[in-house]
Amino acid sequence: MSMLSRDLSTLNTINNFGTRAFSYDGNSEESSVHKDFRRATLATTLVIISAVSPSAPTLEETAKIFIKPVASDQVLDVARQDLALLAKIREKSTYSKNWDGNGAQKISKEAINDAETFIRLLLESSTIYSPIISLAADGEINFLWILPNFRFDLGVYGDNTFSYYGKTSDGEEYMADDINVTENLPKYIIDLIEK
Amino acid sequence: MPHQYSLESEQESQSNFSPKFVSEQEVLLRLLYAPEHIVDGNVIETAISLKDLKCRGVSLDRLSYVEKEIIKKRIEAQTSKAPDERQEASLSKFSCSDIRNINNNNDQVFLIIDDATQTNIAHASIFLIKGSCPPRKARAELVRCLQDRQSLSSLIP
Repeated sequence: MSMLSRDLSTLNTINNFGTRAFSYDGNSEESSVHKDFRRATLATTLVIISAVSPSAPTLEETAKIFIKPVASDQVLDVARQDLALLAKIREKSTYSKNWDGNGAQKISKEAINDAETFIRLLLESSTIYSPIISLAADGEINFLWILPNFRFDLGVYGDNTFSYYGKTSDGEEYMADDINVTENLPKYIIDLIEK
Repeated sequence: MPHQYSLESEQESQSNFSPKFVSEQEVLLRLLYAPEHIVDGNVIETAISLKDLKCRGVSLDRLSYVEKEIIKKRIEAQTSKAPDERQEASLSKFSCSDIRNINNNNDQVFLIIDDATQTNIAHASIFLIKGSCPPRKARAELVRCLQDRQSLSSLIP
């Protein structure tokens, strides 16, 4: 048994005592929280031993192998519209250059920021129908509402502005360019996309 | 850089590799590159980039001159870059007159130019005529013409 294996075996026993304080029963199904807690405790203890034992793995190596955030199971509450939309916007930031296979630009951080600013402001005072959020190949983040009586296309590029075009089923059109992202949509447009 | 084409450019060939300028009755194809741009079976606005409309053109293929292998290779190249997401490439099919007849206040909005290349004589492009229409409005009109989607094999047996 190597020095590291022996250390792990010993620590595991010690650690089980620690988790018992949280009602962990070694014979029953271990919850994911307990598992994470046990792993984190084990990692922390190893780090301490590494620091005092010349034969133990270095602190850096141990950290790479064992440390795992206890809260890794946490996720955004996507039932909340604002968080769901922000999550969709941030997902777009993970698209790499040429994401469409035809030379598409990577979305800039500025465009992501503008999109978030726009949607946060819009949701501050309104409950709206959720838009389709998509990217165009030229770096645009686009919000598209396809509603029974209104189709509304709004986009940002990361220059602190947004522009839009919308048309109702009655043929009424709404359009504007270069609106600062810190300004909200006009009330008459919000009324058309509001739930 | 904004494109330099005008209405006159449509009436004479713009490339030495082109068979001839694009006539009104020609059938045109637009390869849709990303599944992101198809929602509930419909093509959405972001399938067309505003920058392409204003500057380098929205790429098309002319059905009369296209070689199936060229499109097939293009689809394969794109599929290999994102195999999980682009398994069913499709092409929008429309006629040249569908696009050229779009107008705003009686002004033609789009040009269709035969900018063929040495490797693809069927290549053509759509350009927005500067000042004819607000770009987002123009795009909304254009997207309405892209809704007839078909597979490559059904278009070119």
